[in-house]
Amino acid sequence: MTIARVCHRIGLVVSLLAVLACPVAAQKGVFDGTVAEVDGELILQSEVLWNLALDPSVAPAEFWDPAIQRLMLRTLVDQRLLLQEAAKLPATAVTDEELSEARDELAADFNSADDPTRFERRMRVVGLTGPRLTEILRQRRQILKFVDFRFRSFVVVTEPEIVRFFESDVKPGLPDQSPGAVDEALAAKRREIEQALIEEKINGSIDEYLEQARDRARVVVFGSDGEGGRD
Amino acid sequence: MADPRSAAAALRPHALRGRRLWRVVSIAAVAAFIALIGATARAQTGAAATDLSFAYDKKVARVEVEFGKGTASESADARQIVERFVRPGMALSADEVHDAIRRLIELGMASQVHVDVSAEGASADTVAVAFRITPLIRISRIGFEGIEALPAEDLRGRLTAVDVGHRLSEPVLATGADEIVRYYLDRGYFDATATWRTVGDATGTRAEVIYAVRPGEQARVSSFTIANTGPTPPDVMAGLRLAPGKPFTIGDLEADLGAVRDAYLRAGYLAPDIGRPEYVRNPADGTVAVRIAIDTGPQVEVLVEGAEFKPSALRKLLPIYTEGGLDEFQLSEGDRRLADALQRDGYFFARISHRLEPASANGLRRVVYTVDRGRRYKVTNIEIEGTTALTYEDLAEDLQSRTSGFVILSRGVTSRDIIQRDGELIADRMRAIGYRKVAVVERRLGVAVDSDDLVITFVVEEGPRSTVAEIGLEGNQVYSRDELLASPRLAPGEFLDAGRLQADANRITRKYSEEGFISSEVVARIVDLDGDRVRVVYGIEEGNRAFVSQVVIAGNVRTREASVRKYLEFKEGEVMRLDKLRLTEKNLYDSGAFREVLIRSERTGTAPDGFAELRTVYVDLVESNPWLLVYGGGFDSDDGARGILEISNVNLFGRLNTGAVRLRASKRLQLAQVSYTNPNPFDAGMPLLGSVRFEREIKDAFSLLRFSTLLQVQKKLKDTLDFKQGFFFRYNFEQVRVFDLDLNPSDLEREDRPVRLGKLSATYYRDSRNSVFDPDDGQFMSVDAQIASAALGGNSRFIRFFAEYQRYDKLPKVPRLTYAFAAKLGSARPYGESSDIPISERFFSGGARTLRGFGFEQAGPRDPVTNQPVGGNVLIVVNNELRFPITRRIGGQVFSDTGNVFRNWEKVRFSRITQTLGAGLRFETPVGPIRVDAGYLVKGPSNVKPYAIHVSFGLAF
Repeated sequence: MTIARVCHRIGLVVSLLAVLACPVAAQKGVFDGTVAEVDGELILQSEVLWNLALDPSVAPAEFWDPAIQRLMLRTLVDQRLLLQEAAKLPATAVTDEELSEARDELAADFNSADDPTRFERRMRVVGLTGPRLTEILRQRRQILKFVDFRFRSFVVVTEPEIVRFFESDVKPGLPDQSPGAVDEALAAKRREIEQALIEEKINGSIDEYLEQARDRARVVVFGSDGEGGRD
Repeated sequence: MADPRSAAAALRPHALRGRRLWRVVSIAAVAAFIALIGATARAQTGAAATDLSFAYDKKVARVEVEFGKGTASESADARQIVERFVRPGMALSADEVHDAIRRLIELGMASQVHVDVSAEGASADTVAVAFRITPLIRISRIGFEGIEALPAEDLRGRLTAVDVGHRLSEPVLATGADEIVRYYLDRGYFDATATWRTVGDATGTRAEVIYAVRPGEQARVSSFTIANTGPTPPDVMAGLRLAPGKPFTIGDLEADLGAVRDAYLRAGYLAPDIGRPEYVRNPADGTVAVRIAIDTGPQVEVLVEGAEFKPSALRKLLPIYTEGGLDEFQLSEGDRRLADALQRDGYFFARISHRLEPASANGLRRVVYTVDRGRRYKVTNIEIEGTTALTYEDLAEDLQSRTSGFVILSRGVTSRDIIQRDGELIADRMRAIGYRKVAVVERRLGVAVDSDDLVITFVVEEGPRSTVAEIGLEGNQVYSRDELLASPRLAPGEFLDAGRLQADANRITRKYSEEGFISSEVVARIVDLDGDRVRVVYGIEEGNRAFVSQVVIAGNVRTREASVRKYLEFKEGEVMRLDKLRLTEKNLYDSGAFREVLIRSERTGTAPDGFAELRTVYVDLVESNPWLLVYGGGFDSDDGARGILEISNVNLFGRLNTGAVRLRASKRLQLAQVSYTNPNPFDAGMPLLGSVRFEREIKDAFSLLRFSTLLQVQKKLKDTLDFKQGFFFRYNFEQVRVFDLDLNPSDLEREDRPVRLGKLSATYYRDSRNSVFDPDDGQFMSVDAQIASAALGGNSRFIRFFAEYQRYDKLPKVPRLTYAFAAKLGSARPYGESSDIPISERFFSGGARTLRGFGFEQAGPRDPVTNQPVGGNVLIVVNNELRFPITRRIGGQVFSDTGNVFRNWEKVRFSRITQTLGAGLRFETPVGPIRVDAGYLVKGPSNVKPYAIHVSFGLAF
């Protein structure tokens, strides 16, 4: 047998192995496991996947992207910190009607007239069942109620703040800068500006709260080999 | 046949193409392999780079369970848990895998779990599932090295994630190291480092953590600068802790920040804007420069219109003076505090508002509080109308509104908010006794036209009262209904009562937990039936029965394990009871040898029946310093000034025995005592005490020197927080010498000097008082019987009996009053060759704790020549006392003391019973109440002073 033939046979074996091995290697991996701990409460990888599936901005192909999973894990850690506080307040209990409404709203974010089952398909892709979805929605509603109670109730937007925002962000873009037109525009935009400032203040308050909560809490993010690091 | 060479030639271009093709395929194969290796590496190091959506709902071909470094039994237990959720033959479900992981964590079997899935089968239509479980390791002890500069206790308190009994993991240890370094940073040790190592034990589930700390040098202050935009108060730098050259700590920086703020507030700048302090370290010389930027702000004046307040009172009341700041929150808080102060003075409905005036020409700002006091009232009565189920007296202790007291300066307490809350409380209490539709429809205030009397009336609409029609149980399989509800507090036909409902639920829970069902839960719910009838259902989750399979004791460095085991209320093989675990914790704490005791259990297996759990109980201990030094002083009018010094070791020889040396000295008594206590010498739960004592006692009629040895055992029948009962058995040997006699010698028998006493005694005690120091509920009783005999080593023979009873009650209509009652009865009788009781063993009475119309031990028979008390063989004393509060820290009492000491029973006469009436005050201090009592003998002997004043610590009884 010539050297060339030997090389060819080796190449054939290698390529066959590659062809045979690749599908097996591609169909194996970590299905679920502990990925983080927040004050003793564990977050599992399945929860990361399920929450990604419920995010309309994430395509199914990105569900298993480590970078995107890390981002979602950070979100879940923050959610867990908020949930631990929310659970202490009876006012944040969620009713069945609210859950049903939340589910319908979520499905509406995905489904359309052309594709009415997109939401159910996304759930199947990550093995998300109905009861589990209900539990996730319950937690989300509870967090929203806590945010309303803890932050929204205390937010006050004053007239000077509205005027300041209008002067800096809206007025420069107005085509008609005459006093009458400016006043009219302010009146027309007032409600919108007020809402935007409220949401901005709420977000600022939440960020500050979460920063302090993260400092107080014991948050540990694990690697897949069990070694962890401080977040 | 075709020419092979032609065939080969025909193939040549293909062969060439084929060679090129094979080369391409080979290159592609190598490339694929490289990609494969890369993908595999990514799969191993990154979380789920692989799309495993194919695996959902695929049939599970096999399940592997890998349990870290655990034993075969632990692996088998883990497999059993896993296979409840994931088994060969079933469809793989993300839900079930998720629940399996959570269950392993909840049971304490795992600290982390990872589940791998791989496709199997020729067409990859099945999957293999592998659970990789990292066992839970807990921390058994925490030690430090290199921390000589600072105490270990402080460091231990700063560790939030690392503590005995906590889960061990690298991130947890890293968190601990961070916290240690931050602790040192706060104290100016900027170069501090902390590393750790762990030492596992033989079981593999416990590990000791040791932190090695290198603090480095502590930084010193080089300068302290205040960058001010306005006037600076002259005393702002006086007394600052962070002077140049001093050690730098964050604590001192915060204190100085407060001192700087106070200086501005004192100078009238009530709204300074004090920036965050900056400190810059110079690594070259290890110093720190501190800088604070301050905007002085305006001078502020505070006025109050509509009410008079002393300037000093306003400075204490208003937060603007104590904390500074002109923000709305501070000013509103000032409104609230002024309202509180006025309400305390009877202006219950005062209205306060504030305004902040613009700056004047000279920059001064003014805060004006406007007060509308309204009328001044005195709450004379609080009533509840519309129901007879609850009265004001039933709720008086819990309502915040209070009627005025009978002492001066009290107008009662109420306000609009308080009345609102009291209404809600009344409604809650009515609901708790079955009036589930109750409403407080009106809160009426009745005022008199010509006085300041205020009557508060809560008008209640009861609604129907719910009746229990039936009682059901759900979920009970181990015990029958009759066993669980043998004699219920709440029975069918009775009105619904939340308290009794909960008591029955607790009793059911206790029944399960006493039989080892440690995770049982009982939840009571109410189901509405027709009319006002309800069904009560107790929903029971029994859980599994648990047995103690093993007991592991850790953390005992000095103490022998066998000595710790003597304190355990549970044994291997027994049913596990949480109350026994708690009692063991209490016993170990009570020994005084341990600073921390943590007892927890973990499931480590399944019983052969397949249902019950086997659990290992871990007793984690942190020993305290066994040496204890106690010193103190006191005073009372009977004894004069006194001092006490005691040195003890609560863990002698590591056997949890106690040895103590005690010295006590006062005007009347000096003693020295050495004692030894063994809490459980015979494994019979009977503590043993041995002591040797030397004392010198000075009475009015004589003095005595007593040398005594004592051996005592205690048998506890019951020892809980609420109730104690048991026996003492004692043997005493004493030598007593009487001297400094101020008595007619004929009053003394020859046996009186000197006396040898050999005594055996037994005491029964029963104590249900809610407090030993200041009880207002419960009873105390003790009965002591004693025999002195020559056979026991003495030269005197007598029998002595002493009984004492105390009782404390709150008066039903006036709950702030406490009625206290005490009675003492003593009787002694010589026998055999002895004709009298030695004077040192007779009863004496009179003084701060017995008959308060007499001075110390002045009651009873007296020497006819010297008029000194000589004691007697019979003692009868009855005390009645009414205790009441005057202010928060001052109380009063009125009392009646009846009784006397008699020579013997033949001399007991009703006419000789003395009667004292008196009153007193008591003052709460940080070390207990100081009491002053004045007693007057309304019926007593003529040869003693008819009154006495007593000052002492503690209550009379």
